Amino acid sequence: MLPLEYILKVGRLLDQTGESRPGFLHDEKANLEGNGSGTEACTIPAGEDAPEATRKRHEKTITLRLEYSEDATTGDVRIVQK
Amino acid sequence: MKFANFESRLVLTHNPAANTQKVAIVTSVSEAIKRWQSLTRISPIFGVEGAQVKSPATYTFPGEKQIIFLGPVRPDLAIQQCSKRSTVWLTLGLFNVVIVAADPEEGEKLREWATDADIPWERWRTANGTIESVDSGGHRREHQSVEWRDSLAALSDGTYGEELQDAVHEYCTLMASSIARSITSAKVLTPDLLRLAEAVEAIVLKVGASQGDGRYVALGQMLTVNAGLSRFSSQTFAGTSAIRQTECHYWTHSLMGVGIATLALRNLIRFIERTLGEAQLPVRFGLLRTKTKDVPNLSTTDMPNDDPLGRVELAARAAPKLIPLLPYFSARDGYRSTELSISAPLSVICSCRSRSWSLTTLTHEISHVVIRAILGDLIPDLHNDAQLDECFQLLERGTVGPSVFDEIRRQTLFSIGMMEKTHSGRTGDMLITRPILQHMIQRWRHEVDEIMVHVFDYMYFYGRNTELYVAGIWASWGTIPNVRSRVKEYVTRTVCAVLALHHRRGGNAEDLARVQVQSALTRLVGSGQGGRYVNEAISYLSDDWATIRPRVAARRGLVKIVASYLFSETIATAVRTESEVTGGTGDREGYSLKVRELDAKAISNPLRFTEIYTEANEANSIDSAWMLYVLAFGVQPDAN
Repeated sequence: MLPLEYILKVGRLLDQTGESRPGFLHDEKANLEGNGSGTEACTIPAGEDAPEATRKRHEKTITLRLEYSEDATTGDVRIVQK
Repeated sequence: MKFANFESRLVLTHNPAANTQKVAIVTSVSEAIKRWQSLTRISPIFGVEGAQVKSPATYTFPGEKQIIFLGPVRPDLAIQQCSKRSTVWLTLGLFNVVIVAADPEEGEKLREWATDADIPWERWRTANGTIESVDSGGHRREHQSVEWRDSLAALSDGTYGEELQDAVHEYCTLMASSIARSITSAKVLTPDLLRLAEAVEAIVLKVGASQGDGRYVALGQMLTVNAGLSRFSSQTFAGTSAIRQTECHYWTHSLMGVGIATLALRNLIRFIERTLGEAQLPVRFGLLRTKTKDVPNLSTTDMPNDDPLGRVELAARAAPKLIPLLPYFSARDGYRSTELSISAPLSVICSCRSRSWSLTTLTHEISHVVIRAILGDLIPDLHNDAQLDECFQLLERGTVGPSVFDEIRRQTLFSIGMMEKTHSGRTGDMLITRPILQHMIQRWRHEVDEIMVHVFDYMYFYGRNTELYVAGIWASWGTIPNVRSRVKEYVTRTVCAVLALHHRRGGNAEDLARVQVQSALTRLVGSGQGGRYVNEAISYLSDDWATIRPRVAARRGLVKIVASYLFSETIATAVRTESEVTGGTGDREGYSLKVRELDAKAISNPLRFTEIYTEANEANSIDSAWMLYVLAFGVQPDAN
């Protein structure tokens, strides 16, 4: 049902993202728990299993603030990056 | 002419002392088991009524007989060749018609007819049920390509590294066997197999397939193909010539196999490939990369409702060839799809007229094939720094994406961010690095896939009919063991699908979807359908909405992407139209087919037929056999 090009892409997609279930706290890849303070942050543990890139502390970091916004005219609710 | 009201068992037993084999028709599996030996095999066999032939529920093949196995063939065409003194039954194997000829002359006449009509046949000459001699004839060998042997031989000679080598060898022998058997016994399947073989060759020979991570991607796909081919081949070609030398691993069908069920499944899937597949949605979606003018900022404007994907121009030469999905049945895999195969549970074979085991559930799996292909583009190669950077920059820029494709990707990343926030209970900002982005995508890809699939399935295949959709998915979920812990997840997905109807209705959209789903589930319970988990689902919606609602809200962006950018009314119409109705609606929406009747009425939309005629609360194997026969033989010939 797919062209060959997409069969290859899906093969790559499934290999890289598997069928793991989201939201499982025992996911060993990256612990994205907040730090509980006023500005919650995604942090990466510095343990043995942490991705190699985390050891490169010069990795660029952006602050992602997402909120919902409802259009008063149309009623559409959108995700907005503040 | 119709299926009679009995299902017996055709049994082949071996007498080791005399080294002979004997055939008989008995009424039950237990009767066969009481005399079971190491080489015994068995299959269901069905009677025929109203055809002026005999069709007893038990038979010992007394005296000297010629038993002619024919097929695949429409039963009415074969029975027309018989006299009133013939005895006829039907099976679910590719040799779907079994005839005891009235006399040797009739036996010879049937053999000649089958040969002239290019219908495979096998003839057993028996004495009191003991087989004395066998002859057979397959499809005519005309204009048959033999290049497949050279291609498979060359592939098997390659060097692929230890992980892949054995998988490739297994594949080459499996595919060679499948193609060879199809050429003799079911030539309609040969082109499908040849196209699949081309695709698998490309996968194995792709640059990088034998190195690094490429080995494991290729290995994953090879193992998928091998598992599918192994089941497909055993299920389909068991019970073809030479019958006595084949064996189906689905043991209640070990003698004749289930080739008719394979043809039925194959025809259903091919119809969807011809309508939805040929629309090339993933290719169209990829072309949104070229839409760089007036890109809408989906954070500040409504999503379009003017069929943007349907309006993408796909030049004929740009439409690549599609690789057909390999169909098979599996108790372990159940309803499952991969980029190369699709499976239905074994239970479908004897229960497909019941809601719990309906073939319409396959639309969810077909939706996965399309959505995964789109995600294959939307989600970057996570091991490719440049592609990950592209995604990271979309978030870093904080403005509309450079193309429609990029803007949709940006919104998908926003949805992933919102789901992460909601599930972790965080509020406020997230600090994102490239590795964190990579892990978020890995973590949430499956859920993004499921939500988009549910909306896609609801819109394309269920025609946004909430009652039908809720009944269908909850009936099929009810058959899955050990998923009680996932009911809340299923509730979330159901509400998300129905949210597609309400997503333009402001902040209350989630609540509107919830009410509709609650009502549909409650009606299901009232009608005695819906399966094991429906009451629990109703309780969750009632008592846990405060938890579920924000999860649905976080997924709303994905719902909107599917409803606006992946749904095309024109394409959906092709999927749902049936041109062979006789007019009027009635209680079968214009279909004049009657359950169990073996007439020659054609259908052009096997999906619609399956939907209309799936209604039983209880499984019935004879009704299911009839449904499989219609799907195997009733779909318009020019459509296949």
